[in-house]
Amino acid sequence: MVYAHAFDGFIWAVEVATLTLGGVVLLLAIFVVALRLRFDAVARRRTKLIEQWTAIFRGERDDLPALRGEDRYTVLLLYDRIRGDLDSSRSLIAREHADEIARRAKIDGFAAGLLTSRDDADLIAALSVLGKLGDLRAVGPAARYGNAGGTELSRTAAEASLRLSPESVGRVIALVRDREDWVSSRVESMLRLASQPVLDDAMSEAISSSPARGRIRLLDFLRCCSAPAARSIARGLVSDETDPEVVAAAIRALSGVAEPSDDARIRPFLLSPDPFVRLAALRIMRRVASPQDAPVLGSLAMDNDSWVRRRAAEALVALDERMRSSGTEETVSEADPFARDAIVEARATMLPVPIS
Amino acid sequence: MSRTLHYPWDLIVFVIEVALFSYFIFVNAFYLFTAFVALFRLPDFVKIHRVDPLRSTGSALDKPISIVIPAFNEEVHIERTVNSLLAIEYAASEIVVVNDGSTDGTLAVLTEAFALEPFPAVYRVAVPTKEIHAIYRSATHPNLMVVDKVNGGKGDALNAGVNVARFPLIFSGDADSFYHPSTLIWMSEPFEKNPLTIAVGGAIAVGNDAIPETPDGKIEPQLPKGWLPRFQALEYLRAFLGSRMGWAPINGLGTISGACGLWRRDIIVEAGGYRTDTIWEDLEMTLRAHNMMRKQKRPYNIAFAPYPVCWTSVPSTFGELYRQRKSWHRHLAECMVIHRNLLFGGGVIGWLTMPYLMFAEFLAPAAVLFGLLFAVVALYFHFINIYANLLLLGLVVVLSILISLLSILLDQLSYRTYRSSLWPLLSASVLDFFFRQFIFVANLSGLFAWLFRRPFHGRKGSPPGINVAAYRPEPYRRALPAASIKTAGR
Repeated sequence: MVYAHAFDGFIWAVEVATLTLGGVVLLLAIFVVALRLRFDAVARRRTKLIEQWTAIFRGERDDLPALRGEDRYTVLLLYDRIRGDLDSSRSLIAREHADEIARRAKIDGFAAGLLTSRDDADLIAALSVLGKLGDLRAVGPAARYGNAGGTELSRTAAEASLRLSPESVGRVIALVRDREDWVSSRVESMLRLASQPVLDDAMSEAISSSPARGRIRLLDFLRCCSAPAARSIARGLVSDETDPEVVAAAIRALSGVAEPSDDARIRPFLLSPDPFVRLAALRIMRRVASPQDAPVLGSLAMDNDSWVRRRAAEALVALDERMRSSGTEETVSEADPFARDAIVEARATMLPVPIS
Repeated sequence: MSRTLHYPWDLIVFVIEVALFSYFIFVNAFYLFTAFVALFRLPDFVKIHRVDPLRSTGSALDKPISIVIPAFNEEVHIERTVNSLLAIEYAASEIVVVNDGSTDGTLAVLTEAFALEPFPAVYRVAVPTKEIHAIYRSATHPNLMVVDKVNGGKGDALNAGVNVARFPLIFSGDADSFYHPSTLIWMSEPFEKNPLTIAVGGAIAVGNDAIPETPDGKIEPQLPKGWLPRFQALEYLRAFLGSRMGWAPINGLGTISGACGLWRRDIIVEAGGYRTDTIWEDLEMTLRAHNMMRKQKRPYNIAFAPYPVCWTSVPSTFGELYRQRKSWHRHLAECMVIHRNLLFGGGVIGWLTMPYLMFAEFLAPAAVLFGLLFAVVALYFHFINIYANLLLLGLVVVLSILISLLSILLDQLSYRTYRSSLWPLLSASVLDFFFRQFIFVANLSGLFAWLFRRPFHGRKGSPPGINVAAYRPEPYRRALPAASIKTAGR
């Protein structure tokens, strides 16, 4: 009978829980439906707005309709997207037109107001837009959040800094080195905004003063520098650096800008004990190897590391192509079927595919 | 209680009731916990990515990805699937379709549609597989390769794809699904942001009436018209937004779906490749990765990308659904036994995910069966209160609707996967309780199939053409050595 009392209490608790949760479910269902109706209305309005303002930003319409308060955020994001696309188009007139429209629509003032928000998304939108508009009100926040914000906020802040104050390149590169959470392709797009001579100097300084891990990270972005500067930095590291991972990264960076004279500098690395250094060296030798390299490439086609073998085979085939010869198979031992197959594959991969 | 019971029966009945109620609270607490974690995380995630969208930049710095698609008797869907993969916007990717000994015209369809020609590929056998007959490459799309091999099951086909793949990240997909052009951009982001990431799962949507009929068509994001697929659409929202979005932030994700998963290739190889003696492979590989990384005390992260990038066809008849769920549950049972050492073995996976999988998923059909039998016996002998039972049933239904509504809310706050009217989803959430009883029956059947080691006969829509016996290790061992996992059954 003791349990009967406990049972009554239990029943009472379940009754209360069921009724309460039933009420919650009803309210939640109403909320979800109301939310959906609102979203549908917003989506319809947003579609019209985007269509209208895209034409305005692109100069296809001359009028400038009044912008309602609730529409400002949508137009701000639209400007950000269109202006971002124009960054790569190099059309100065189109960029200036979009900027002028944004200012006339008071997007800059609205964005500046968002700088006091505590919401990361608002800050990202504000910094990105003000950076594109060259609005100096964003200089302070951009410097502050570049070092302290989350992944997206800090990267956007760094990008705004680059746009607003060219002298911040050195600080931004230091952030690129330290913030490994920034997506590399986005960093590349960001660094391409910087003035090249300034970027060249800053990159050279940052690489020389960074530890090995930082150097490896920065070498990925050497492609954003001018070719002579990239070549000079990479050559310096190839000659002086002792850490094999940094050497491999430097050779990889050099491969994009290498000149025929670099073959003598790279050739010794084909015999490096580290497979990733050999692999990096093969990237360049594939483009610059001469017939005298064939024996070394032949022995690398029988290397212990399968990727070295594959890349050596590709270098041999590329050499054949350049020299209009077909003697690569002779450099590979009869006893190594993998190497011979790798050459056959490399030939099939690198030669133009016939369209049936 | 309607009839007065005397000691010790009153105590026994009371204990059973408390135990069943506690179990019910335990299971729903998990669902609510993950749904609320997702509710706190997802809106912020969506808002950030709305103002800072991930877009294809065509950069050479994007991590190269090999897409591996196992295909067995997929002549109807394969061209459409490969076309959707070829439309993916990503700078460095290759597609490796593995024809796993199809007996229909899968290879012929591929050959004709993509102008396949024999290709002398060389590759390292990092994980052993059944024999490969030939490798082909498309003359029109040089980044498309087709591996033709002896039938060995989905895991074996994936292993062949892993061997042939050249890139450090492997995307595993299904031959009958349709993929969004931004799939790889969105799913590779966690690898860029966190170097500890070893795998990323993507969200899957039900595409029965959304996937285009023609090979070059586009997705029409609408709910399926049939009730059965509609219930599954709701179930997928619960599973991906309400559950996995909640597990991922605490690194407790138990499954990377085989239809939409991005893995580090070296992790798959180090783990010994996909297992071929279980009927499915995705849950087992995910748990094995957890197991391996924990044993080696290596920090790692398994992430989830909540974008609905993969649209898949789900069973539209009760028979198909029953067979699918039966095989899923058998696979779950196999995985629970194989990786039992993870249970209470420390970390989120040991203290939360595995207990959830073990008690709220694996043993759920048995618990429901026991609860039903107890209720019937109790009602027959009149020592239980009918009102109390109906009340508890009401609480179960209300909680089920609440969790479904939370998932619909999450979807509305994020990507609004299905653009059609909301009413079908809302009505499905009310009736979902009855759908779940059917699933329980199928799961129970899977549990028995595993318990009595009934062989699994591969069918269309199930793992490719294989007959595998239910996996259970012979003698009980305290801890399953990694080496035996690596090579067992091969």
